[in-house]
Amino acid sequence: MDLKQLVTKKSFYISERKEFISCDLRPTWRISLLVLILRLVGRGNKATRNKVHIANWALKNNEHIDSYLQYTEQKKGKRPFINLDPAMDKAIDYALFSKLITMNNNRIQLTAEGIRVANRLIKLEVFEIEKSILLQLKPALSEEKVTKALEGK
Amino acid sequence: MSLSLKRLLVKIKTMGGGPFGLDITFDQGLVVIRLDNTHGKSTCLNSIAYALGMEKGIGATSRFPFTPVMNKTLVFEEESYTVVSSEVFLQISNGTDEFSLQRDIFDVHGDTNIIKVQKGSIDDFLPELSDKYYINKQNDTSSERGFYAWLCKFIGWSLPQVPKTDGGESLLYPATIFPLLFVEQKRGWTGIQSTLPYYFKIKDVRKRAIEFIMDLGVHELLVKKQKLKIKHGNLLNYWQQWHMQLSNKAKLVRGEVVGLKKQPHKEFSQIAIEIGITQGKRQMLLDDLLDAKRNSLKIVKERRVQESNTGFDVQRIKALIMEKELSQQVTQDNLDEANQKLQLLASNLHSVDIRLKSLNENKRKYEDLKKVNELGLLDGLSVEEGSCPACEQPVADALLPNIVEHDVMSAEESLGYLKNQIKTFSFILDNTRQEFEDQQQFVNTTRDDLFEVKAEIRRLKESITDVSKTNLEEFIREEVKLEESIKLLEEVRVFRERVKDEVSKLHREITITETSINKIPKDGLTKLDKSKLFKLKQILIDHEMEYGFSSFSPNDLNISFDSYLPTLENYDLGFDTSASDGIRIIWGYLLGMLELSRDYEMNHPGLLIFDEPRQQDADPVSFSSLLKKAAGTKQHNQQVILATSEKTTSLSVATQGLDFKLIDLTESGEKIMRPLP
Repeated sequence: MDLKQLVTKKSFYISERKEFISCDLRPTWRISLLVLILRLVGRGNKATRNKVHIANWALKNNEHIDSYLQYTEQKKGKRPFINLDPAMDKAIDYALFSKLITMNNNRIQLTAEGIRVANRLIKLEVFEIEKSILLQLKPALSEEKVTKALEGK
Repeated sequence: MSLSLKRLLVKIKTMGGGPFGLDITFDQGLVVIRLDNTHGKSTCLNSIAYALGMEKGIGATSRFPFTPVMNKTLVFEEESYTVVSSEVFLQISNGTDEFSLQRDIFDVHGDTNIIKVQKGSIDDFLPELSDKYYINKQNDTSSERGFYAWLCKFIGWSLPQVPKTDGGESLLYPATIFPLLFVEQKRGWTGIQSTLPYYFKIKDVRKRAIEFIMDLGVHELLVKKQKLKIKHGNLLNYWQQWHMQLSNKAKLVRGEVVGLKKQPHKEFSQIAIEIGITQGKRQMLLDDLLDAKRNSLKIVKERRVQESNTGFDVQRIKALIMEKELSQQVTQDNLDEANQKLQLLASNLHSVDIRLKSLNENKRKYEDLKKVNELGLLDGLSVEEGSCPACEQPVADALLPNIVEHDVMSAEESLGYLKNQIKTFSFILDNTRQEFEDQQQFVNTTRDDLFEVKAEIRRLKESITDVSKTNLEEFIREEVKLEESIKLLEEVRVFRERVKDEVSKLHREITITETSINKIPKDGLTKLDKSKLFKLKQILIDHEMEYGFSSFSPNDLNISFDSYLPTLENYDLGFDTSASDGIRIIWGYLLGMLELSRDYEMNHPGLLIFDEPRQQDADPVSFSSLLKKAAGTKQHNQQVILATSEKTTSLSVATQGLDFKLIDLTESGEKIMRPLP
């Protein structure tokens, strides 16, 4: 079959398709996750940026959770390779300007509105896996352990 | 089939005052309860629903269905009292018997999931002598101690079994029927059955409820169809089991099933079921192979007899060894090649699996996102509206805008996209897995072949050095091997014959079941059903004319044979009407059912409760025609209870000349809960 003929014989057009992006890049999804992290593993609805990042990283897959728990809880294994997700920073910015959180001294705290949203998310049947993992990880996510995992001290 | 209310009594005990409460006696026919807004009208009507255990049917789920007056503070003559406990009594009648129900609304010691029932009037009610029935627990509709079971018996309902969305079956819960009898003020007027609870997971629950109230015959057909479908599913299951057993048997002789698929297929024929066995490069049918093996056995036997007289032939053995060694080489090469392919397939399988998992994970997240969006949890945030919360510039719906080159899909589109991808990849996964399994089997058989050849070579070599060996040994060995494989093949053949019989029996049954399923008409309405729906349409049109329905000519209204709801030119009346016409439709439809039950055998209990039917200010003319229509229920021994905040004067104009009972509760300007005598 002659390719050229095939193409020129019939009129054709190229249309732009919409692009698919992973759900965790959606602002709404990530902001919801952010308020859940602060509510469930924060202390008094407050946490450092580092803790938020580690929780966010741990939720990405089970190996992350295992390596983190092994290092902080069982004191063995190598320091986990933690990457900070720029999308989370963006979500923090959005949430900050949407008045769901406040920032003080690198500590992120939920506002009353943020707490309201988080509480509703906890009640609803959404983010089930994330919620159960966060509750499970809570003891291992103290600020001290977070710093240790990030700085290796 | 009747239910009417006789008397409602609410009792509230407080600290330092009271007891407070409300005591209303109802008559048959139209009962109008007049009360100013925010004075406790809904509290009054909701406690009727609550006493009947129907709070789920008016849109209250787990939350407390009342204002704080029932459980916190009560204000009377500008003084506040702390509520200690509250309870509701309801006296109901089914035409022959009268019973009193009691349920705790708020009581630290009481259980709100228990309804006490006693024959006779409220005045004679003694908690100790009453029967206790439970609700909101398993079997509250079917068990002897379940309140709904009692209530249905009292009304004269026998609830149908209906299919659920998860494949099971359950009784049609009374709470799903209640929205056709009770229109709640807040959400009730947004549409017909708008407070219908969906969380019972009943398939098409909206239709099932209407079918029940109107007693449509279509329901029985539905049950029949459901049963047939379950039977069909079971038969398919047996079929699959036979198929699996046969292919397992076939694997014993390195064969595969031909002419029989996992599902019944069009060109099914009993004769076509065969077992194909790969021999070297080509495939043979089981019977042919059996014949061939029997022949070889005969030849080998004959040769043994011949050879038994000749001496040991070393040269022949050596030639045989060389031949076998060559075949060992070929088999080894085949095995290596097959192993490579197997590994490739395994890694393919793994990557498809990973892809599918990540797709499913993403789908789960998008479903969460969809719920969050639907509930509007983050509504009002500018990110949600597509602009940056700091600088108000438009931003893409993505956290890393630099990776996005085109428009991104909406959450809804993404879900659709993911569903398609998951479908495709599941298909690929199934195929790859099948291919992998086939290859695995191929590798196994090739390895067996290789070992066999190796063992044979070893034996032959040994026989050269071992003087005690004779030619005969090889022949005998081959004979035994052939006999064994013939035995196995015969066994498989017997099983195949059995499967042929069983499967063709199944095939007949499946065809019969399928035809009976297809015979059941799609809309499934009987002649009587259609005449009921047609009559309902006429009543509805008649009502709408009187109410001054004006969005379009009432004569264009129709009742759908599919959804049983009012339609215009086959479209459900969603938002095509003005708000006040929407309310007129609800009036007409629900009152229409009440009227219809006078002429036809139906499950309607002859009771209708409207909370604030003048929601959107349908003009006074139509309100008075509603009252007129509703007042007509008295001569048919039915009951319509209507609560309104209409001013006393205008109400008396609207009800001029009507036979009805007026309960005007705001003469004193106080709220509805007052000191009880």
